[in-house]
Amino acid sequence: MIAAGCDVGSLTAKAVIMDEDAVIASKIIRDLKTPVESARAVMSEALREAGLVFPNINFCCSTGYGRHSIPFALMNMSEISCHAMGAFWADRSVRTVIDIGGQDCKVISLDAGGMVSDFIMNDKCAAGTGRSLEILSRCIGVPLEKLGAVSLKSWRPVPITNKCSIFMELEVLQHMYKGRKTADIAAGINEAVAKRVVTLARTIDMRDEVAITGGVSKNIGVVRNLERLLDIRFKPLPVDPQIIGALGAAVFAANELKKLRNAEVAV
Amino acid sequence: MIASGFDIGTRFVKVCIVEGRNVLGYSIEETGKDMRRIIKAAYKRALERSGVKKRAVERRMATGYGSELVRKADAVVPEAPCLARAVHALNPEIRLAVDVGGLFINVTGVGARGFVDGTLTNDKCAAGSGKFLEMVSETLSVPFDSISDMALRSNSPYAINSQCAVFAESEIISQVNGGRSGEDILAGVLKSIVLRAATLVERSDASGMVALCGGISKIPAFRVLFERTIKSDAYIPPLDPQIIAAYGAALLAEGRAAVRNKGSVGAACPGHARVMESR
Repeated sequence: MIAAGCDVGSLTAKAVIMDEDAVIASKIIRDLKTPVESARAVMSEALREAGLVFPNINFCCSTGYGRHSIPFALMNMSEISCHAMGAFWADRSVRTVIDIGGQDCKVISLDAGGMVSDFIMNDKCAAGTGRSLEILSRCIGVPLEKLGAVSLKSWRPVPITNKCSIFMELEVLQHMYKGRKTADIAAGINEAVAKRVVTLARTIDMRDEVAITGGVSKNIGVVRNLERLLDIRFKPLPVDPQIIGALGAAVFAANELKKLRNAEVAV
Repeated sequence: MIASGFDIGTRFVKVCIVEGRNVLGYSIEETGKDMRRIIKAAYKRALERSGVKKRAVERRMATGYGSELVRKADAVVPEAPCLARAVHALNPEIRLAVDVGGLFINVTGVGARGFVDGTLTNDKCAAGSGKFLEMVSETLSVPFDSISDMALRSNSPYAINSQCAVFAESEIISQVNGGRSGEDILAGVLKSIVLRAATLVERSDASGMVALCGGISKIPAFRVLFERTIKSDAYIPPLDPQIIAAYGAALLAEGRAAVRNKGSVGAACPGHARVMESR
């Protein structure tokens, strides 16, 4: 039985295909014009990778901001539940998930069954999300993907004290006028963004193990700053942290399939 | 004594040269990469317009976000005392000065003797700042001078959902692409800036006349909306509203007690008339 999960985020769309309890394909693409187009495109690429076609999918669950409009999804779940479930499926010891996406940031606390027990989310302010990293990295002319690696070369990160991304941008420009090293500014940026996440995370009870998911988890600079400021070690996940949401959706779809099958047996 | 004031803002560099309380000349230059060169050029132009030699300027004072960049300044002061001094010199009745600039909104209480009496600013978050307007008018390719007329033509201003300026940018772009009229969007943006400024004014709980200055207040539609929102008339300085902080810095540099001469600058300011001609 084939279960699929589709996560249409603000910047990228992710798809995961599962056969029973194994992931057989996953794909990440940049968003197209509409959530429906992005979902279709990413799912067909994942299907091609798995050597399948659309009718092979027995059950599909969608998540992300475009989750309500996906035509081939039979159910949808919130990003919160999916990130919790995805991280828990990847590692049963996870009790807290920090997810930093393109336009929001959430800290989710889970129970021993992988269900959400509490969460806190910021989707009102761009500071502490991938979006501010994108703006600030463009400002210093470092590609977003390299911001983490570049920042590791720094011994003296510049202090960035503002809380608003736009004011941070001004501060970064000032450091550039003063001729500070790009690596030092990059390190300052990563620290500033991490600090915004820490402020959010401090308001919730965090229990071990902690996993980090979402696109920003690929920035080693932000990750190390979070570990230092929160005094924790992130549990490394065996799957790509950016597809966790889609994975969680696929797990929900697979569970739904199991329920349906049991119901048939009962009849 | 001839003195000069520098206001290095986030979007524009303003230089104002005064003799006593009279404005001899001023200049406004857009900020850019090489700030020191831009500041020099702005100073040169202001001197040319004033018909004053550099040597004749006895004191210089700098204010604004980039005030540290003015190497020749005798002193650096925050915006608030400059605004208070300038507004008090223009009209001693004023008790509150609202400066709406490129990124910051400064609200300064003005004491009876022209000193600062409390300040409020949007320094935590850029929501509802001039940055909005700049980005939208760029997207719509509307020149600054046409913003007002366009906004006044709208009969259903678009209400922006996002609180964060960064998210509002993407929201507005998708609205533009979705075919919403430029008039409605501009009117909505102006409204959000007005609300932000009005909230700060309300929090200051000052009574009496409010002076409106800063680059954004050059937009007539903004003044109209602002006055409607605070439910009272605002005092519009007789100088270019954008140079008020620079004028205040020059007055502080000049160092004369603001209370000495009770006459209003707008009424008897020969320099002012000259400035208007030279522009």
